Amino acid sequence: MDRSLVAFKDILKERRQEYSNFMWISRHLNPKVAYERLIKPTPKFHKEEVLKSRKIQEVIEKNCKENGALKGQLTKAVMIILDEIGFNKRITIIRWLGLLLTKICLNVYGGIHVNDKIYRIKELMGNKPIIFLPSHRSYADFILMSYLCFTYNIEIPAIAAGMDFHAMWGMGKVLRDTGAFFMRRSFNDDSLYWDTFRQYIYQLITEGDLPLEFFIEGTRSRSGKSLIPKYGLLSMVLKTFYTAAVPDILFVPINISYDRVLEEKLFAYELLGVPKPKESTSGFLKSLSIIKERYGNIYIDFGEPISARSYFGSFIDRSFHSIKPTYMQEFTEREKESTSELANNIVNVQQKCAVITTFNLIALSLTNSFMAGENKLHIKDHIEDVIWINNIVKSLGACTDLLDIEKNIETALDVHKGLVKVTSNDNVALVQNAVALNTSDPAKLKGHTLSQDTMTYSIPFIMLQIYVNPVMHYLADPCLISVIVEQHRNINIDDLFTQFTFFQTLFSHEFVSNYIGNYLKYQDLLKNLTNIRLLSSNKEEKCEIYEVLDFKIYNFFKNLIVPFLYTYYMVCDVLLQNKSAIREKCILVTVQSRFEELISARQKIVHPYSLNLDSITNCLSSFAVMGIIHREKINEDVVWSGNMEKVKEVREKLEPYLASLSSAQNNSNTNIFLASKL
Amino acid sequence: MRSNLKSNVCSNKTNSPVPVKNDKNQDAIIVNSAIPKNREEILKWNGWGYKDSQFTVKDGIIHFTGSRYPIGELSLPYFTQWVKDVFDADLTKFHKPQDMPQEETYPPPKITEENYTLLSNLDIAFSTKGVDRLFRAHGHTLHDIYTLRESFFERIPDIILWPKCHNDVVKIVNVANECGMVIIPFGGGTSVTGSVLCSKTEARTIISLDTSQMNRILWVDRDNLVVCCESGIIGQDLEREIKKLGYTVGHEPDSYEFSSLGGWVATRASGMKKNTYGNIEDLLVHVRMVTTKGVLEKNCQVPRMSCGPDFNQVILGSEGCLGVVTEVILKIRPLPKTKRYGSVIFPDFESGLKCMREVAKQRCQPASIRLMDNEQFKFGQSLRPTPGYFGLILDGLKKLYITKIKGFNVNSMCVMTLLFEGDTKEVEAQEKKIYEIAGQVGGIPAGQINGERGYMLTFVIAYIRDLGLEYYILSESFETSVPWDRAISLCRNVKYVIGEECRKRNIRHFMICSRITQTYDAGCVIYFYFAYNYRNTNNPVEVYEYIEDKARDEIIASGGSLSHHHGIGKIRMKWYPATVSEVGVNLFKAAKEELDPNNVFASGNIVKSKL
Repeated sequence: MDRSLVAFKDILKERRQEYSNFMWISRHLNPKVAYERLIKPTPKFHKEEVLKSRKIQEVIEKNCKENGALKGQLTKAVMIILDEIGFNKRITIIRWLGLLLTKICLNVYGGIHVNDKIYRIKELMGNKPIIFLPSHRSYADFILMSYLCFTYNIEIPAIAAGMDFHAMWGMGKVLRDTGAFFMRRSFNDDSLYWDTFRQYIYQLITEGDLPLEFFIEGTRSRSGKSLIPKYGLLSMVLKTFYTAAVPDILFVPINISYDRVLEEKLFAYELLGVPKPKESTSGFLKSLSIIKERYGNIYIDFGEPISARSYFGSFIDRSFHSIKPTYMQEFTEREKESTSELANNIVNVQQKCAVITTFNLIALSLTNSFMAGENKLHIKDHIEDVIWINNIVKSLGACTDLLDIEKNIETALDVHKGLVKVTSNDNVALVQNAVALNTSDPAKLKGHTLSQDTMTYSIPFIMLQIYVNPVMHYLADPCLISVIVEQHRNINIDDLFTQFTFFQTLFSHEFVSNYIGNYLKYQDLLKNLTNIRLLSSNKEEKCEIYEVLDFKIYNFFKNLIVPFLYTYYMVCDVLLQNKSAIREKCILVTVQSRFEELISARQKIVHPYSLNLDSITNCLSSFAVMGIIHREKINEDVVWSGNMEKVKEVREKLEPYLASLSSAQNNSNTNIFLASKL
Repeated sequence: MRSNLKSNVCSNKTNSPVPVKNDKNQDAIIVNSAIPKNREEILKWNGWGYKDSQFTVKDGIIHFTGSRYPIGELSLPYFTQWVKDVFDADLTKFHKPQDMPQEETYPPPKITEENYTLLSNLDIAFSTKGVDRLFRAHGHTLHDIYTLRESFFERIPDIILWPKCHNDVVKIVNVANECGMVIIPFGGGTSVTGSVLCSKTEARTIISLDTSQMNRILWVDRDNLVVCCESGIIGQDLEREIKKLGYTVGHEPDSYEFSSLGGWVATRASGMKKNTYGNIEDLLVHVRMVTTKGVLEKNCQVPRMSCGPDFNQVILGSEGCLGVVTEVILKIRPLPKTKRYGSVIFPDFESGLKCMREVAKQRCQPASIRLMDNEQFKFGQSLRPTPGYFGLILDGLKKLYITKIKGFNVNSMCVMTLLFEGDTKEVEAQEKKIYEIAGQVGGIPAGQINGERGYMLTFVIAYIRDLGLEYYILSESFETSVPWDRAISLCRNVKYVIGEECRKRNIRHFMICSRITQTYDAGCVIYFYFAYNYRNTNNPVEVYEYIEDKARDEIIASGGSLSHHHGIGKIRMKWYPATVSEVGVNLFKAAKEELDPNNVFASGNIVKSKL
């Protein structure tokens, strides 16, 4: 369980030391491929094979018959689609990009630390399809993965990319030349397109030689927490295994942990509902101004590779697909379930492979002290807290990069000086910049039109939360246990489990976990929490009774979970105000405007993160999964309706937690807390 | 003439339900078999084939002895090198097998005085000698041969009976049924499924019913082009005798030098030249099977009939569980005027398979068409006394042409071997067509000699295993059938699985190769050869069996069959229910219950009998 940073190696180190980076990028390359083929398949070959495939030929024929389309036209249409999708590979572009990246990375990153496990993974390559599945927190993920492969002499993967990149002038082509292939968004229902795309994936897996890479979360997580995985691409990949077109597939979950995320500011805006700017090349060039800034360390770690063969071996009978041609096969229910189970597993492993950076710990400390309403400002107090938090997080299984305390904290604060500032008298404060809202067109906003004041006040907190959130994978469950135990004093182990499972389910989209309802994991967790002396347990009539022992830890956990509880409570409240169906946008607007009022009143401590739209939609999705409400699409609008009695029940369950928590506090600190640049 | 034979008297004192024909067969051809009744006179006791033919190592070079096969009396330096390269074989470390057991060391036959008297009074040749029992206690699985060389079988038959005709079989079956004895029919002894092995726990007397002395060709019907044979006739005898009359049966499984007609029927055998002559079920016009309830047969010699389910299909593939096949009427063909070999090389296996598929689509298969993969191609090329793996094909200019001008990769190219039989004109037309199809996918004709070598190797390849066992190399083959579209993925998957299993067990020197040996309209047959150096492995046979099990799992997962022609026997029973459905299993059990309620035919093949 103990992971340490010893296994990580900074790949920039050699780049810094070597005489010429140019020599390095122009070295002889003989990269390791995923699946050695006697004749190396070319990108063009793949496209031709897709077009020639029985599946596509039949689709074309069927289309001709049913819609009277001409075969020639359809063939051309497929070719156009394939040209839109298909990756390319131009080694000169890769080399030049390698040089450019080396120069940029040397400037902006302290280090790119890669776990040595990569050598073992490289050893496993060569005779089967292999899929790299990195976590997705930044556009940099793409580039880093390819850079990593280039460094370790691994063939640069074929990477699934969104169409937004495709549209970028010049960039689309560069990405394509370095192995990206493009995938339209799933709500597109052009069946010719999807048949072609599926066949393309089938081709890459069954006849390709490159590793395949895609982001199982589907999109960048704006919040810093893992997202519920998407199953589409994974199913397409797994179909080749289920139908025995390939003997095995190796899935490699990868975590990329950032000290500082390039898009931190954009994400903060997006979480509040201000749409992200469309990807454009000029925007990209503008973002090159990042070169002037520092982004600290990056940690890349690999989960134990999952072999489809051993993972599914015992319960998926592939011979089920022996009758009927392979390309006509449909998934069985079992396979669908297993696919999503695997997807959840992969995300879970990604989370387990995270490295918690010093700034994550600082963010926790700051957030805790803000929520506690403490006037804790001096850096020394925070250093103490960071050490204390570091111990907690580590005992909950996290790997942190806090080694040389003073130095690490100093570096972290320097990297994040745009967000956290150390004043001349060694006080720590969030940096507040006046927010100029240039996109004031409410139609473009996803939620409520927040006032300039609210935005200016909230953005730093949201940004800070983006660094709290990666740690929530380790903290969410302890947080929930703490508040439940304190709420129901002397709760016995089984009642606690019932309550806990309810909250886990409620937060299943917020804190992605595949242990919901797992009693063994629950027992482990309790043991852990008793060990860190958060809880104490007594035996009463053969039954384990729990109560809170260490209130410092309890308060810490409570402070972290409250913003989430509050948002969920508010969603219930808003749903209940409407007797009938309610538009999603209306929910977002109402919840946000309520929180805006609460925040500007400064009556009690309300974390601005409660404003975030991500949690609101997570809440709705959880409710849907729990069968409480359901989603409908009525003329372009997403509308929610459902069983209001059940919503009420949830609200009643949440209420006590907030009643005891959100009592009025001294609010003066919140102002001190912020170092206004106004 | 035959119909009035039916109403004959019963041979037994008991009221047997089995009517017995008289065996006056004036037209019968008495066949002097190549294999004597005392098999040990000419066959190896612990390996494949003739005693005088084997691979040996002389002065560090492998030779093949004897003059029965074209590579006989030759030294094989390139094969020697190949064995060293691929398996890291140490030809100085000879692993001596145990000697043949002394007569007194055999376990005494389990037979009561009473039963012994009964059987010895049947007027049928019999023996309880250890060596006779041992010879008929096994087939030719790796497990069987390894046991012979290293240890001993837990159970062997107690008595051997050599019936000389159908009626003798009827007598034996009746006695066994009445007196609680077990019969295991034994033909050529070439089973590769453990089908003639005795059940370890069988407490009853086990009779090995050796059909070898029941091998007459009873009559030849030239108008209808059929021949009636007794089931003990072995392939080479049948072909030799029928050839004298200007005909051929054309059924040539790789074992046909030794395997018997009855065995072919009981396992649903398939021959190399099935494209021209058909598989055993296509060749079979009529069959008689003696069961404990009587003889199962049809009343007419017709090419086909619509009279309910075809019970020939119950007999075909029954693997000795339901009764004894005694007489078979087979189709014959006039001898072909021309017989010609051919070969084509392809840049890779995939294009070779494309060619095979197209040939099947156009239904222009010659008598035999096979495709060897690269590993097997190299192996085949090494088995000759001239230099280089690719010597014959790739000598001099030709090599330059193929590798440089045509750009073939020596590590991916593979060869298709062809055998044409028929009228000269027909053959020529066939050749032309095949080479044309091959050309379309990049194949280059590579001459007759290469083709012929390929087929010659078929018979020699079986001898290699014995050599391997003497130098810590274990080898075995297994087969399957598969739809065309899954052939490539099946080959890849199986090779992958074997590779991974070997790696897991730290087996570094191994070979897995495949070849397509038959084509059909809807699919093809794939043969795998797997061999490994077991110097560092305990329980090499167990490990082999485990790996083959994994490979079979993968074959089935990949859409392949449990077996195309080897059968189920004992080694593939566990997959049988899933193969034929639970209903199928019960149907088979019901047939077994009806035909053999006392489980006389307790070989325990296909499904476990309840007794």
